[in-house]
Formats: sequence, C-alpha cells, structure tokens
Amino acid sequence: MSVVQKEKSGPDFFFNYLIKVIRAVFVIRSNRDISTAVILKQILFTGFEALPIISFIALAVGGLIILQGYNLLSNFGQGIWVHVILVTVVIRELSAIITALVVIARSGTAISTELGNMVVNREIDLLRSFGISPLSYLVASRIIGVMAAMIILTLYFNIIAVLGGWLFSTIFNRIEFRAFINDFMSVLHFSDIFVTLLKPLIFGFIIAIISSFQGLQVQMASTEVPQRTIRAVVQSIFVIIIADVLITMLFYYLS
Amino acid sequence: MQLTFSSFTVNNIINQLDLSFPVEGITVLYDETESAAEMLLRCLIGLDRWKEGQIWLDDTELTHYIEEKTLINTFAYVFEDGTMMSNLSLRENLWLPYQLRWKGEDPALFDKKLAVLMKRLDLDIDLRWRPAFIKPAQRKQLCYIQAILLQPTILLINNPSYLLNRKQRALLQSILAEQAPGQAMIIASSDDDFTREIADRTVRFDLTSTELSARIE
Repeated sequence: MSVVQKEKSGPDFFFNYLIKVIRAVFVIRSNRDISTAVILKQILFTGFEALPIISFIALAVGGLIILQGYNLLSNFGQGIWVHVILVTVVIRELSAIITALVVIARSGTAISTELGNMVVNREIDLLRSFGISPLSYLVASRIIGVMAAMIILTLYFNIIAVLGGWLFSTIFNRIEFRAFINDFMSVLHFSDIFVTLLKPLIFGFIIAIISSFQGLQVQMASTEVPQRTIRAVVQSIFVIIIADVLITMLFYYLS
Repeated sequence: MQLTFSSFTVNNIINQLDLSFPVEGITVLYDETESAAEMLLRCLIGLDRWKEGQIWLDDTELTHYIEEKTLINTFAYVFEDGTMMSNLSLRENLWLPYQLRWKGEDPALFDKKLAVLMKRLDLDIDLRWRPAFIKPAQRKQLCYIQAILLQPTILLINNPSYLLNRKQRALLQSILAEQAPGQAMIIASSDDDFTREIADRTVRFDLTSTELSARIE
C-alpha cells in the first residue's frame, strides 16, 4: 500500500476532506480552480434534466395528499384544513426529502461513479500534475452545482405539488384556482418558506460531499466503483434522514 | 540546472538514494523494472509522496521552488498511456493547462501553435471529439503536444514510445530532438534503442534484491 493509499484509508480522512472541501467552497473568489463550466454542467444535469421526474412525483404527491386529506377531513366537515396538510406535509417535509432522494438516485450516483472512474483512469492525477486542485475543480464545483440545483428543484416541486393539489381538489368540488391559492397562502408562513429553502441547501451539500468522497475513495480497480456508489447512496439517505429529523425538531423547538 | 535527490526514500525500492545530475537537453532515466524511474518522476510532480530525503533544483528545495514558480511553469508530465480528462473535448483538454500556463493569451495563437504541432505529428483529428473516440496512440501524441505547448522548465515523460508505432515514434523523436536545445527533459524509459538514439545523458538504475543504485553515463 502506497503512502497516499494509507493516507486515504485513515479514520480522520473524511474530516480532513470535509474541512478542505468547505474551505474550497467558501473561498470561491480567491479560488481560481473552481470551474464555472463544471458548476453550470452540474446544475444542468442535476436540476434541469431532473425536471420531468420531479414534475411527475410532485403532481402525484400533491394530488394524493389532497385526495386522502379531503376524504378524511370532509367526514368531520373540516375540508378547508386540507391546505394545512398540504403546507405541513409537502412544503415543510416531503418536497425537500423526495427531491433529495431523486437527486441521490440521479446525481449522487453519477458523481460517485464519475469521480471513481476518474481515479481509476488517473484523471485525478492528471489534474494534480497541472497544479489544479481536484477538490476545488471537481468537488467544490459539484457541491455548489448540486446545492443550487436542489433549491431550484425543491421550489419547483412545491409549485407543482400545490398545482397537483388544486387539480385533484377539483374532483370533489369545483374550487376556483384563486380561492384555492388564497386558502393555501393563508396557512403558509415565512418560517415554512425558510425551512423549504434551508433543507435543500443542507441536503445538497450532504449528497455532493458524501458522493464525491466515496468516488474519490476508489483506489485502483474499476470493480470498486459500484461498491463505492452503493455506499454513497446508502450513506446519503441515512445522513439526510437524520438531518431532516434534526432540522424539523429544531424548527418546532424554535417556533 | 542541477537536480539532486538527497537521502531519498519512497519505499523499499527507493531507499536512501543519493543522485545528482544536470538537467539540460534530454536525460533518460533508464530502468528495466519501469518502477523506480517512474516513481521519481511522479515524486517530482507531486503525484507520489516520499518518506524521507529532499529534492533540490540547484540550491532550492523542490517544494519552495514550486511555491515560487508554480507547478505548471516548472513541470509538464506526459503519462505513459496518454491520460486525458474524459468529460472534456480534446481541445478543452489541451486548452485547460495552457490557459493556466499562459494566462490571457489569445486563443487564436494557441490554435495556430496547435495546428503546427498536429501537422508535424501527422495528426488529423476533429478536436471537438472526446478522448474516448480516438486511438490511444493519437491520445498519447496529443499529450505530447499538450506538454510541449506548456514549455515548462522541465518536461517529464514516462515511457515515451509506449503505444506508438514505428512511424509515430520516429516523428516524435525528431520533435523531441528539435526541442531539446531549449527544453530540458527527463524521460523514464526501459527502451534501449530509444535511450541510445535520443539521450544526451543516461542515468542507469540497477535494482539488486536489496537496493537501487544509479549510474550516470
């Protein structure tokens, strides 16, 4: 095992990696290796190309929540409260977590596989031979791209889910779109918008950092790439759910 | 310029190596095992780390030298298998290090220099393609072009004739020989013929079961 390999398998390696990446992300102005092209490509892949699947899921989720909620609440004559369920379940919780799961499945796996293959094909060495930091050029740029795409996708998810909710609610009784939105806005608070923006930022960072870390952990063989990708998916889901619980608890504690 | 490895230890093979030679023209590190010479090149460019010892360029320790002059100005490294970034086009691959080395230079001048070298190497490739779409030998030739365009203080080449056929090899040798008066090169090779034909100076590594020794010819 070479000196570099030993270093990569050390127990404190992830935390060193985390610190280096955070430094690379937050000193963008002085970091000449951060690539705008890589950031834009990542936003295009993670954000724009995921719009069809996000639209489909959001429409279905929004609709199903209205369908189930209306059925349940109308038994008690409380159909109006279905908007509260929409805000509580979709805006605060589901939008960020479902978007994160889609991003893990599409972009997390792609990042891990791409970086793993780059290690095997010695492309990381190539960058280092130019004096370009792989952490800045490949990882920090991807983290910024995924975080930006996560925010855009989550907001988009919310809009489509609300739209889906209105479409399904018209099945039970004809509600004017404006009236539906007015009811919805009356139960939507600033804190809901804050949480719906905070979560995707944190989830995007988690997905990108874990996926890139696992990708760069590949040492020699291409057979390691799928193993590392699986780890990236499992760890990302695990950490995101924990983060979601913590943020929600903190949110309820503060409010 | 004098390159010195002092008490240099990487692993069991390169252990307490003391070696010093002038870096002018073409220096071939001849190594039948193909491991020690490559490792020295990789240590120079910072791809492998060493456990003990120091590397000096004239009177300056390598790390300080690179801090002062930057890596891209000091070294360019040609990988033996013609490594390129798979997610970039061929032109982007060549442009990426070039723009770091020659900040603010006109891309038209880059294209002009590139066209001249491609013609010399008899390369007719669409540079919008990705590296996976061309032959490994063509990739390797483009890597030579990439490194030559950088005009570093020292050009490092690992296993120069690997992947190349006789004609490509002859073309390459003529270009390297032409560049040699103004461009210092260190080449790791196990090819006897290549070494004989092109080297101004040869450092022969001899690996016994216990230690590595180097002899300058």
